[in-house]
Amino acid sequence: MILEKAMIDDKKPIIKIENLFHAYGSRGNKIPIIENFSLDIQKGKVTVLIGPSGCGKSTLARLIAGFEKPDSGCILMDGKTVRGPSPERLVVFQESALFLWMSTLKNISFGPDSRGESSSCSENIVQVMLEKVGLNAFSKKFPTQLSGGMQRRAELARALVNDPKVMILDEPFRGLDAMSKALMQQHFIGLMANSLISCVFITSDIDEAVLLADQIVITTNRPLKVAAKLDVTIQKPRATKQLVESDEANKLKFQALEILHKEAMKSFASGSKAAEDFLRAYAIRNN
Amino acid sequence: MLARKRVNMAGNVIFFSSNAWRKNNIIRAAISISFFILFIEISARSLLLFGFKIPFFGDLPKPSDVVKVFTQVIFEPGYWYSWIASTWRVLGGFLIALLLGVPLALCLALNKVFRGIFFPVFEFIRPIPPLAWVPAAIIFWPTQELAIMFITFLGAFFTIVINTFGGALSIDLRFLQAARSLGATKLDIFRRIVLPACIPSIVVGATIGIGITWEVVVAAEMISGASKVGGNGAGLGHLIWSNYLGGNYEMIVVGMVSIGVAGYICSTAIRYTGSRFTSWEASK
Repeated sequence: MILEKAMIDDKKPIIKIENLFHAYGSRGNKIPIIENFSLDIQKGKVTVLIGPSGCGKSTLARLIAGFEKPDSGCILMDGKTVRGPSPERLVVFQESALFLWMSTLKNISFGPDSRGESSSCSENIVQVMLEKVGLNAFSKKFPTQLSGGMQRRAELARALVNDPKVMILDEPFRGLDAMSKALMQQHFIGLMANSLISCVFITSDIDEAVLLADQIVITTNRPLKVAAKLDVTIQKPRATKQLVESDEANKLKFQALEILHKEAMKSFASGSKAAEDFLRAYAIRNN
Repeated sequence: MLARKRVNMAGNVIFFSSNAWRKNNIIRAAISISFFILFIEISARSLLLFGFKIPFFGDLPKPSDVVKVFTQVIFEPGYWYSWIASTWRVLGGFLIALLLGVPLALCLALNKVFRGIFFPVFEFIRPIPPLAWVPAAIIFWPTQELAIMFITFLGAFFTIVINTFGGALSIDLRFLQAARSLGATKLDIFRRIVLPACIPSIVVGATIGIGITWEVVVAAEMISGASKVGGNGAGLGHLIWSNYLGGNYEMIVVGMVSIGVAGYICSTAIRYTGSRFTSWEASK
């Protein structure tokens, strides 16, 4: 399960997204959420998706996870079309989706339990994972008795015990205070070090993106498209402190900010167009 | 300290959160209840004491007389037979409502076709008050006893169904998605996600439902003429009604207090049982 990073020179992407289109709404009034979206997600890498809030990133996460089917285009994993949810592609949800009526231990072992793998081997894996995320003393507590940071760690552990090929993390550290967030980011880096798991990490925080990513994908405002791709080649593992002083990190951040700013301006412009329309409609009604 | 905190977190009334508080509250409750009883006692004697009758309160039976009658009555087996008869009707109707209501609610929530067919019928019958069913129930059911139990069943059934239904519909979609991608089967999702997620709303429905069953059992006993059941099993509602007809007003109050106590015991028991099933909620 754990291999040296150097050994992965498999250039084939683990997930290939091709010409994805997805829309919500009734037939006469469809609002496109994702349009013409293509992206390769490399094996064993962290791909960070960053874009304006409400741009459709979570929808993309649901599509990759297989909870919803795209209207057109396709998502391939290892060359096979994604047709539904699978333990190979696990989601770590925004805020926490731990089962409130199960203890931390039961939550983490939910995957192995439901697949009928309740052997001493899987029990061992769960125990090791509990230790890894530092929740050993809290294994009998219910989720609501855990702090925000602990809940996120339990959530990560619940996914990791299943040894997924891909993890989709949808703003997993949102809503944490700055201190816990920084701690969770470092914790995440530690968990992912030397791991073969490919991550799709969704965020709206540039610092987080630069800290964690091998590749940053900046998305446009709705409908979601790829605006730019930036490779992050800064030596891993990274630390927040080190990034503050790194020229490369600052350059990346500046680049990303500029593109994001452009996107934000565009959405602002489209916003003012809506305002314009509204004013026009208002004028017509009053005449 | 720990015990105190736990009670606090359970939301089980801050009222009992510490010894000092508890003592103060018991004293306050005792004073307010004594004053209330004293007020009624004086009002009931107002004609003798002041030469005029205090409106409404002046017509009530004297609390001292009620207590006197109560102390006599608790040694009579007939009084306890009334308790047993009413409790039996309440619990019977309630348990059947629970056994039928929860599965029905889950079917309504989980299956769109089932909901499409049966929800309109359910919503059509739901607003009909249980007491409006009394005549029909007497005609339908072969015995008086079954008719009364049917009324109590209706009282609890709709509340339990509508609460469980709402609870099942409001399950966080992410729970189901997470369970699905972790590899749980449909049966597993039902057993380990849907059912436990619904338990708090089932408990709420049951707590409200048992209160309604006590409300309707009394009325059903009065209207249906439960005395025809014969023997001693006429019930507390009938006890009140027959004593009203016989002009024995102290016994009316005895019956009312008895129903209050019975209802209180029942809802406490349900709440206690419910809290055993939802220990995870107490940690919020």
